Amino acid sequence: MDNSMTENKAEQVKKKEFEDLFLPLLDNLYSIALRMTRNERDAEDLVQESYLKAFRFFHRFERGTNARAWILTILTNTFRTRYRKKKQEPSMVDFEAVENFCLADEMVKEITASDKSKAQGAEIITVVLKDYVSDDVIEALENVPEQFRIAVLLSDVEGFSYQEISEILGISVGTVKSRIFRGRKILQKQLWDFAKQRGILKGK
Amino acid sequence: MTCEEVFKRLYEALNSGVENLTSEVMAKHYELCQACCQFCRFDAQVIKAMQENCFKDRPISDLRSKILNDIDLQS
Repeated sequence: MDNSMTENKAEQVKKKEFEDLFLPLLDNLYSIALRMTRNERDAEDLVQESYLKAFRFFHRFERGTNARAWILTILTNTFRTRYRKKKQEPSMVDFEAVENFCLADEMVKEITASDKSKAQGAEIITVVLKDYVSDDVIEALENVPEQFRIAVLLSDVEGFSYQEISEILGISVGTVKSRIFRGRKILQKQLWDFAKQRGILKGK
Repeated sequence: MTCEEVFKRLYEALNSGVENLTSEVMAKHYELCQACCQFCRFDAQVIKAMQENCFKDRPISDLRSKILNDIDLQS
């Protein structure tokens, strides 16, 4: 009887500790999951499954270490094993075009093509893109292939270091750098192409 | 430092910072080079927009309750 009560008490303490540590991260994890799955229902399922796994393996969590990184590792692994199989996304990205794309060069061309002075042209591009980027960044991000998208998210949105991302994704730091570099380049090209399609830029 | 060299170091600088000397050289390059300067402003804007927009979404159902229920069943 005493043992049972002690175990019950210990379980309650464990539950409380888990909830205090990880439930405040729920909205944040959902946002990341949504960017991974690109679907609200799948994002919820992914987060729910990740929390359940995290609770099961809570005894492996080292107190005092980064709780957000720990549960994000679980979320990422769950996504990769379950959802990647489910949805093998065909890549819509023309990698050759991305390799040849240089945003700075495009900006110079745009400035040169405008009737304004260089300084005025540059200012116009920056002001116009500032509003436009805010509206379309999510759509552009979701068009970035998964492996690059996740690396960019962890770096630019979540603020993890290369080393932390390397540990979360289980890849080398060099691969992290390469994925972030390419992911950002794809994202820039997406945004630039959107702007051209909408006539915001001349796109010479 | 050429534009190409600046780009190579740019993302390292944005993420984790580069040595002070390199940062100073890069800053001087930005002052002189309009293309790089605009590129950096655009890139910074993209990152800011991602940070602002990625956290707007909230779960459509009562996800918190579902998770708490799962934990109760598990424990």
